[in-house]
Amino acid sequence: MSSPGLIGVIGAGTMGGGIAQVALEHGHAVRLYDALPGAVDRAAEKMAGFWRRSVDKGQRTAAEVVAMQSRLVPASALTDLADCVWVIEAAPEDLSLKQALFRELDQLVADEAILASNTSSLSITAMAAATRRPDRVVGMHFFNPAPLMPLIEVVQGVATTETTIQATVALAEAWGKRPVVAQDTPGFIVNRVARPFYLEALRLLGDRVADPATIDLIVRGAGFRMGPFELLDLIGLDVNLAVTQSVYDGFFGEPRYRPHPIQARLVAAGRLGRKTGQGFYHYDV
Amino acid sequence: MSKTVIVIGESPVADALAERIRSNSYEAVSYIINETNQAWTDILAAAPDASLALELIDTDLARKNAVVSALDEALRPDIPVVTSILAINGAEVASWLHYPQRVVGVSLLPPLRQQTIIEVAALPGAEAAAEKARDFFAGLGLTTADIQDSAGGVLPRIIACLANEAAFAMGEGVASGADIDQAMQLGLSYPRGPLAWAREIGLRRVIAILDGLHREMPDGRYRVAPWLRQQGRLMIKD
Repeated sequence: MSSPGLIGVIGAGTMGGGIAQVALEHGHAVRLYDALPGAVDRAAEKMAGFWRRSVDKGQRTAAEVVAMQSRLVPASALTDLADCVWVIEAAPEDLSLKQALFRELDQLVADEAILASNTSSLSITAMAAATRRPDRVVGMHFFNPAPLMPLIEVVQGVATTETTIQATVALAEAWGKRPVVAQDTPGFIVNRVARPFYLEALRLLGDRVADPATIDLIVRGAGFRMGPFELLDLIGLDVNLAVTQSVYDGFFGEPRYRPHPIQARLVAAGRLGRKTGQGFYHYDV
Repeated sequence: MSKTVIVIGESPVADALAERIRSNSYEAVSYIINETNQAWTDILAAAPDASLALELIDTDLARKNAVVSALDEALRPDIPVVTSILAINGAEVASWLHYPQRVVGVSLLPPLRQQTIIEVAALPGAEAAAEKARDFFAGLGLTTADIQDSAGGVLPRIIACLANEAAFAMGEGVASGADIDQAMQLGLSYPRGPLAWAREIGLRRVIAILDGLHREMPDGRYRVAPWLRQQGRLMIKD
């Protein structure tokens, strides 16, 4: 079996760094690019810390870690990704930014290369339309943290071929993940189907049926790890609101997805959850 | 104090509660709808001695009305009727009765686990009945939480809407039902997939919860997904 191909990853933030880590852990060489200076170094440090802990736990040898680190090549420009057989972008959630990236990548990489996006909310079809290879553009939506969460949503754009889907599924499985194929629709599967978990909780709160602590208690009693309000505080009210707004807009104002004024008001107040010390609950920093 | 409790409802929650009641040395006289070997006459015979009635009919509101009205005639006036508010709010049930102050709303979904929280909705002017209901559940080793009277309660509403959303996604061809369930469990650690959970609750019960919400709030948020509606129609029995 030939050695795993060269993977390009765009974006060295939480998701991009995690995706690069997954690829390195499965034998790939990775070119990691981020427009922000220092971002790739920070991602490499984060990986080093994660791997150091796994060596301490006896899950990996120090030699394996050195080998993985040697396969991580920082890219200083997008052109450094020209040899990649597979590129996964995890850049900020901005469609015109992603389309510009895809347009440029399309010119740089070989015709057979597959271009994947980790987007959680934007249209794969729209990104693909910026290229001459929409048949080889696909969504690979990882979950945070990418090295640990098994699920990948493999998103099929209007022009994405079955061949591309199968290749993406195969890659995800080779990386020890459980791929689930979804059509390119707002929120794909998880972000769409999860909306009522938050929105119905907010409506219950808004109608004063129960307070956040009671609602969270009831929901946890059914086996959920966290209730909706503590989960909102963990995710960040602003991040969650943006996803809801995106799904709502994507379905042209379908009332089921309508964001809730309570959440908008808390975001306006800067009460974003754990990261600001206050959301629906208070957190001592 | 009488240890006779009346349980009327549809499986599986009614079954689970009747079982739990019996194992706590109550005599549960139960009438599980759709099973033909229980007699309604047993219920009427037990009613004068009963200390509490649990009425858990969700999918047939006309039948719920008939049953609760009959209980109202047969039970002593101070005996609580703990009524499922999955598909209708407690105040509407109370409005059917001569003794509305006996009504307490209850909301819970199967499966009945040790950690299950029983949602209890006290109605205005009926706090005494609510207190008896709370004591009763506590005596069974179950934990209650107080909510305001609202069709669908807290958990049933959330789960029914999750199931409905999964049904929309499946019906639109976004992914297969099995993949949707897997994705929610793997991606967000849901304890079970929404569609599998809906089957466990009973698809007609899920539809009843959504229709109850739609009746209260008819702005389109609670319209039943076409696939789910069709499944409900295909399942019509008795």
